Amino acid sequence: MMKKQNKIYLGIGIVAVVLIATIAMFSVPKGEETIKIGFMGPLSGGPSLWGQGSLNMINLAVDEINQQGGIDGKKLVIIPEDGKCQSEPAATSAQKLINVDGVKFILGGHCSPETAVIAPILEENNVFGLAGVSTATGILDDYDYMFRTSPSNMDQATLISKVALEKYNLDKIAVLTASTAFTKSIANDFITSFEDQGGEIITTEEYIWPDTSDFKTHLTKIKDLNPDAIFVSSQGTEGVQIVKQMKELDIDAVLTGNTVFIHKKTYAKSDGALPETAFTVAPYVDPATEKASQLINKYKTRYGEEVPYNLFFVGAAYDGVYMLKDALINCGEDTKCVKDYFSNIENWQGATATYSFDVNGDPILKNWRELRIVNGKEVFEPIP
Amino acid sequence: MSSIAFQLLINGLIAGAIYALVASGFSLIYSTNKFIHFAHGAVIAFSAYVLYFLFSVLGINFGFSIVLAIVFASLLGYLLDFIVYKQLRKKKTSSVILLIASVGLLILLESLILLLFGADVKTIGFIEVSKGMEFLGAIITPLQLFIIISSLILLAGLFLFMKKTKLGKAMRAVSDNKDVAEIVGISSEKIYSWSFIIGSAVAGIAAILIALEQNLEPTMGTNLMIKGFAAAIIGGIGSVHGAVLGAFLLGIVENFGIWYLPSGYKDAIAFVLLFVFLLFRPQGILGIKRRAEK
Amino acid sequence: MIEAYFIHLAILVGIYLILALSLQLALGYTGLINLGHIAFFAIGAYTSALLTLNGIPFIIAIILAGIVSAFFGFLLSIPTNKLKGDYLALATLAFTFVVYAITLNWTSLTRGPLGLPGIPKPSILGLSFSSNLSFLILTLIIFLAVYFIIKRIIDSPFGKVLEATRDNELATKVLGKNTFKIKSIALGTSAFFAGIAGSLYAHYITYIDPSSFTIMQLIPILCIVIIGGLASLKGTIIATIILILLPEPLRFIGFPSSVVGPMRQIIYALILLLILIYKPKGFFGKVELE
Repeated sequence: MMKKQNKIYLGIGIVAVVLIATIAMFSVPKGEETIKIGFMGPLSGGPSLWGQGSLNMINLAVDEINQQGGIDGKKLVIIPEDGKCQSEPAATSAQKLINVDGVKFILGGHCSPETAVIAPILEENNVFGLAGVSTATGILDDYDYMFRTSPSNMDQATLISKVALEKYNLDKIAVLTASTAFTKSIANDFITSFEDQGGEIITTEEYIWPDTSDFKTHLTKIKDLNPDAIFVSSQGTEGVQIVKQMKELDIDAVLTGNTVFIHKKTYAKSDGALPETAFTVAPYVDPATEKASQLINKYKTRYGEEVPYNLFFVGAAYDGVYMLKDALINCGEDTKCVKDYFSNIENWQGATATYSFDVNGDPILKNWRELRIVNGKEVFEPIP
Repeated sequence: MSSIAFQLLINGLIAGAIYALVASGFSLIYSTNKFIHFAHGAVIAFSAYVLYFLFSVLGINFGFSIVLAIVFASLLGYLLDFIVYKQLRKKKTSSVILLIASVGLLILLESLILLLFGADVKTIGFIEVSKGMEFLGAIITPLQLFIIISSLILLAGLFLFMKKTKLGKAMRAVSDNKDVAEIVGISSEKIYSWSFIIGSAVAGIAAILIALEQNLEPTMGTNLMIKGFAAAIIGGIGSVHGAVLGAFLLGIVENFGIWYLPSGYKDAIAFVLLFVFLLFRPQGILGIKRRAEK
Repeated sequence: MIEAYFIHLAILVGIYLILALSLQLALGYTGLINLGHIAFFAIGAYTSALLTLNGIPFIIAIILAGIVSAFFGFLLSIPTNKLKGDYLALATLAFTFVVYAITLNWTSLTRGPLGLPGIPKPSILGLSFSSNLSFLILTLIIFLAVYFIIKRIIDSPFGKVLEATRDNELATKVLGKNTFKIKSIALGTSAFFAGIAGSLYAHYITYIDPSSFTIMQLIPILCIVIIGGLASLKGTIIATIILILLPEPLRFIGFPSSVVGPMRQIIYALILLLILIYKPKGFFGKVELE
């Protein structure tokens, strides 16, 4: 028995020693020539769809900046951590980045649960955070050091409602949404704004994400109620399956929804099942500035694939790095100065949108336009 | 209102057929090996991705691709057994350890899929997306009809296999009483391997049909497995045709259930149904009353 | 700086120790294959969070979290009384899923997927536990209390009856013991401690949402109990430390960004499988499962 016990203690001892040794090894400061920036986002599981894309965008921007000499001669180094879009992995990742790697800036979380959990940790440690793809309302309100590139949904929702009611006379709408923080908050904001403007929400159907691939009965229920339009708030790529099944079930209603659903990809991967009349409202970047198309090409050249998920949500990470760059040039690594700098950002033109930040750290986006996908291409029209 | 009822029934049958494809292969493996092989879902997912790779990426003829995908599935199942489960069996571990091992394999395989193929949805693109056929006020596509028919043919095929063929009878013998089977000269190790080969081949067939109907995502295996094995229990664990029946029942109850309940509870219905069956008829619809109760 | 990271890990280990020990009571000592344990964890977390968010003091909230979980434990033991082995496992698994679905859909109570943010750090009689170090001390105190209580139960005559029920329920019944009552108490007590662990979790992480309480979160806990060895408290403690800390060194291996997520999962799964293959009876296990 003793022999066995000794083996166990030896095993634990080895794990402990390895842990300590590797931490010690990696936390030796790399010298003055780098600025360490942490990344946190979902890098495994369903949410890695945008998590990995965001990290890729960030690496793209960082490499560009480094090739141009870095910031004041210092190179940027990204330390990636997988938050898994869950509260505990996010908390542990943040602790490791802050306390072991000693980062003062974190690009993350990239998911509402991650952001909600790490905001207080960053605040406590005066670490600056810039989150993405985290749209749950109010999670940044009490925290000064945390900002995000994903806008409050209310602006977008209000405009979609306006277009639906005034331009297209769609009075009765059915809502189909996933049960995630991201999608439900958009759906809830839409329901509120649509009803405020006098419309009628005839039903709300939900499905669990990412495990659902059969929407036929949800759609059957909706079809039976004969809505003028269906608002779909999708989280990942299930939108492809949804439009496919809508076509198979011969559903006639106009489609609207969030920018993940009304997207070129949904059209392309479903053999064009997304109709031309489907519309949403999205931030518009003048193609004449070419920033967006350049970004798309750069991404494709480096990673060999199209920009995953959604250019706005994933591309925002690229813009985020450049905004941080501006702040760092101004402030050095003083996080208080950086957070103040961000509060004062106004009309910063990125590749994906034009940014300003409000007092809570939420972005105020301008240039919302109506977006439809016609023959697989994005078509923007001004909102009356 | 009656037209929606009929549509819900059709939806239920289609869902049931898909669950049946998953549950039957799983049930074959469970009844022979007596543990829950969760990684079955990953075998399905991986085979679907192999089909995608062969057909949509490499451009290999569709017919060849599906045959290769099924062969791959069988091989993968056999290897999982040979490399992992067999080692554990040699040490006479309990079925709970085997279950945990199968979950480990599920995580491993799904991460591998993510690594190799990325998280973006993949489509097979063999069948054009179009409006389904109308039938008594409900709509069904040719593929969906084919899936229902296939699952019934599979049910019949497996039934005949288990009842009439030598291998099938040997499997039933090992399933009923391993020790007696060995006494009459049946090698249980060989039978275990065969159960994985055949069960995983069925998984391959499931993979192809599901890939065509539902598109591919790295996490697709987990949910299929949960529903599939709930169906297998409901139908009667240890009974392959029971699993198919359970699957259809599950599909129908799920789809009618969310007519009344908020649709967010759809998946929960599977588990409530499972719970109810475990309480009142733990042997399932067709199962033999065994160690369920004392 | 680094100590802060270790303190964080120690807190997580402490919380999971309580969770794992409570499962060991039901699984290893009473033979109940309870895959619903994570649901009790969830119930405790949500109860405590909702109470404190509505102004109830922490000390009452954590105790109520335990009691409410225990209540559901008793409740679950009623219909599952006649089930054994795999069937009990499945029924309790179903329970886990149903609780998950409820936390997701009963939005008026739980806010569904939006979760409950801003859960206050504990404060007992004016003493605030907002720093991580103080939280660690709180966790350790509670862990030690739970450990000693469970140890007392196991060493007591009642503990022998639990083990008798596990080993041969029929014989135990024949000897005149009400095994239903015994199993109920075991499951209820196990759930009570799981609820306490859930409360600690909620107040440490300060944000909970349904995705923290799915079947996937149950797997590590189940692994801990099996790998540590059934009916061995010492085994559970050691296994918790090893399995919770196992993913951490993986963070320091420099995988390229594009593969870091799945690669870590793969290595974790491989290590788990290796442990299972080489030590399938667990390190300190005293009994086998059916």
